[in-house]
Amino acid sequence: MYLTIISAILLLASVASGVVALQGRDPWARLLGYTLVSSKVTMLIIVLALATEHSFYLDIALVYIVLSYIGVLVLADYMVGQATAYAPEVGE
Amino acid sequence: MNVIVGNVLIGLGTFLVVLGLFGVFRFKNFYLKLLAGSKIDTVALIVITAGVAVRSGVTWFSAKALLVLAILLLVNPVVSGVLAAGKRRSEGIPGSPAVDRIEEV
Repeated sequence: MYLTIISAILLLASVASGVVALQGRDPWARLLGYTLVSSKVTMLIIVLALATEHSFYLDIALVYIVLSYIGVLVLADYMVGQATAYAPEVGE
Repeated sequence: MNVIVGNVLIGLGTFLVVLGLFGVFRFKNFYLKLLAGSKIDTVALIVITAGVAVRSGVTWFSAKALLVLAILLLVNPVVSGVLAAGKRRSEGIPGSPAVDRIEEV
């Protein structure tokens, strides 16, 4: 019962983080919302692994962490390239 | 005893998640949002994973949870740093992102 309530709160928190991602004014705010959602979902998977006593859920959490990490890195690199491609040289 | 301590840690982590969301919705500046979100999320992930490890005792399950915690401690600060540095660089602010001049933010 306790873990069910915790899971419900984490699910609501991930939905609220999705609202942050949808309301973002620029791509960086949306990317911040994506990282918030992915960290909340990771917490939810870890709590569900405890509640159902299936240890392979932790493997899924591990894979999800690494995938979100790579996704954020690639998207940030791409967005920096887009923003600075045609800008004048600002120098060091 | 393990169950009580684990439950308290998991509840504390969930409380921190709610606090971090409050900060993210309250701040308007991107860097302040990043501060509230990423810092609180890192702490909450550490506390929740430690609570799961404590609650399941000395088993392979808790070892796996601690492995997840180790990967999180490597990954989460890097993601926050990449977001802050990328936003700063895409705004065209010259210089290294490691230089801390607070009046520019």
